[in-house]
Amino acid sequence: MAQLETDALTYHYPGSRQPSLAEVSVRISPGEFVAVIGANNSGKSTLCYALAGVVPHLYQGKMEGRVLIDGTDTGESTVAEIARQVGLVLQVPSSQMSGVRYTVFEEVAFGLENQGVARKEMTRRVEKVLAVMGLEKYAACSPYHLSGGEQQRLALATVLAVDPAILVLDEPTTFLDPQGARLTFDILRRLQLQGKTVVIAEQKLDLIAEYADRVLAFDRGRLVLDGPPQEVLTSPLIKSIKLDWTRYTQVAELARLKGCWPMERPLAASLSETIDGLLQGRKVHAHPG
Amino acid sequence: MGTWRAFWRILLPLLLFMIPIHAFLYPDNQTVLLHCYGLTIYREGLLYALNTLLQLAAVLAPSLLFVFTTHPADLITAISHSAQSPTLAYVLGSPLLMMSAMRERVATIQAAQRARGLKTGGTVIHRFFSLAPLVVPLVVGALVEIEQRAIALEVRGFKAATPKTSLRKLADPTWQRVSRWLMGAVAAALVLFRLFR
Amino acid sequence: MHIQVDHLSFAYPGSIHALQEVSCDIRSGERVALTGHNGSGKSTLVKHLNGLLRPSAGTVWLDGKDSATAEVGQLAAQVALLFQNPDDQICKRTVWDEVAFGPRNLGYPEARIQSLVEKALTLFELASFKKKNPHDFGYSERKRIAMASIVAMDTPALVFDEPTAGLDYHEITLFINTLAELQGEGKTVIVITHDMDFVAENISRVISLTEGRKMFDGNVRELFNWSELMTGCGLLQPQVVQLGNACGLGSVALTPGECVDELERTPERKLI
Repeated sequence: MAQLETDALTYHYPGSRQPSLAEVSVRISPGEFVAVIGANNSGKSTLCYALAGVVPHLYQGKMEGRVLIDGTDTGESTVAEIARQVGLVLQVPSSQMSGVRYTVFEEVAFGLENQGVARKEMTRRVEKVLAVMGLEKYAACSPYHLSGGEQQRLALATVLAVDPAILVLDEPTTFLDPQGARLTFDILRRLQLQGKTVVIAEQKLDLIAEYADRVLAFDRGRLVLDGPPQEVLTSPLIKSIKLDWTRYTQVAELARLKGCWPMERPLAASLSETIDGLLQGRKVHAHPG
Repeated sequence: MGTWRAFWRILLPLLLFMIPIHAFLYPDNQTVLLHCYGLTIYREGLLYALNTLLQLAAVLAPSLLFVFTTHPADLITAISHSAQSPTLAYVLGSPLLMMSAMRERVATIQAAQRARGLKTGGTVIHRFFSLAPLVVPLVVGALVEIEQRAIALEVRGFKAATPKTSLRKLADPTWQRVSRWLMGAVAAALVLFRLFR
Repeated sequence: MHIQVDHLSFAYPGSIHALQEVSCDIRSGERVALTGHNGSGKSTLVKHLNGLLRPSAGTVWLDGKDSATAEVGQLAAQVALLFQNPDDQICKRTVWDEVAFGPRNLGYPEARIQSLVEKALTLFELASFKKKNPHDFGYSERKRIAMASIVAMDTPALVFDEPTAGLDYHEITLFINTLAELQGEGKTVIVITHDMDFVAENISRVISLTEGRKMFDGNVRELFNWSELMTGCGLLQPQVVQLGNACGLGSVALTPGECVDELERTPERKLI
């Protein structure tokens, strides 16, 4: 059984004639690192919301089809119940601060308080999560005194404290600097290695090429591509859905046109694949036969 | 100590201002108490001033005591536990932290609009019309943020049906609880007394 | 517009020096990227260009005139500044009025406002939205509307603060085309950004600030060779530069085309 599944999911926001998601069917297995890509307004955020139950519970609107988490329909659970299995991280760091907790430590405990966890267990979990996210030294600081990147780590920490099996992130690196973005992906990979399933909507295709196991590409609410990064990110279809290849793929293609890329090798999407391809092609080029 | 200092800093100027004014000039002044330096102090005016000041002190002293002795985090925890609705606790508690963030936003919005040539200052009419470009972004931005925050709160189990626990230990000894009930009972009794006197 | 910053220092009231003796000379029509970590003074510096902040010491010369002698309202007609968050400025009920806000404040004649607004809307693919309410749109459209409103002001210099954050590939292309248009009109452009892929392909000069001081002012290729500075600013090298370094290329390539050309030129024994 898939851990996370959508079945012909179609969704219209209230008052909207165009569907934000149209007939989306996808099955995600435990421990997968899935990236969701697409131009703005292609349905990435809506999919993230649907996986966390925000749609249809908080936005109402018209939803057809189902979203199943471990076989249970999200329409039949409350958002708070879904939150135990699916942790959602949003785009803007500061909007995720509860606004009613004065220290980072208490902010991380917030979700645990809501779930009725005992104080001793709460303290233990908060300390653990702060250590995992590298936020121990900020434990006594106000959440509003942190930088954007630190706040985003804090948002992820508050979600992790509840220990959901699935993490869904909606373009979390948009307002972070490049190092912060890479750090976010590093943390997510570590969490994946600990057994979590990661679903992340993102624009940074070069990072996706490096970290994701699978890429879902959306265009105007429809799922148009579903496969490993190397396949999806180098597909000509990418250009028709208002995205572009990574620079690495562009280099690989130009190298191929100039005969510097091994002919039988498919185009690369990530840095490491491109380096391998170029060096292999160069050797072949320098020593033909 | 801070409470008393704040208390007198507010009350003393009022005292020094109100007592003479009412003692000399209160409209219903009749009974003379004292003549001095050509000014007459009347009983009615003096009593009126003292009465008003005492009422003010009765509101001011506990309010200041409350503000100076209660950490906002404890306040929010207490409200969350006693209120039936977590939303109410949130509505009461959240402005405290967000005030400074909002103040910064006001400054940024003003800078952004001035950078687009908006002239702040000038005549009253002009200032009035230059309010909308300052207020609209503030309100709309706040609404956008509230929407995102509402989602963030919900996915953190804010509206969970399970009873909540709390990280902060709120000491609520018996004497404090009994005093609360007692004070409430006395206040109710005073009101009834006043109504049916 | 020729912008000269001469030993500019600034301290916020009651606190730290946000800028310390920063000097730079930006020629008319030049395009410059301004980088630095959070709190390095980038926003503080650009706010001196339109008078939102006044120097504690030093001078800012705009076309030879001391900016301290002009009001913010006058300077807004010289240097347009786009703030990071479009929601900090959107205040009108239609996209048209929002984009016309700046030009109207500057007192341009109605005919000129019409043509400037039409042009800005076209550049950012907003023409079909002109009668709609900006608040009906998502973040990236609102950002485009904010950008259009700055471009419509038709100022000799423009400053964009993190223009590519939150935009998808197509929208970034619109912005790049707009930069080309602005360059064609001889306007001076400063872009605060940490998107190095964008910088590598579109901007040749970078000024970098650290803790209020200017640490670097030069060609983009030299910056990409200085890894400590880049790390200190929270930056990462562009994809093409990372690739070039990993392959051991002889010189810094900024575009995929340059990278492949350089690869062909580099003798095989030098490749890693």
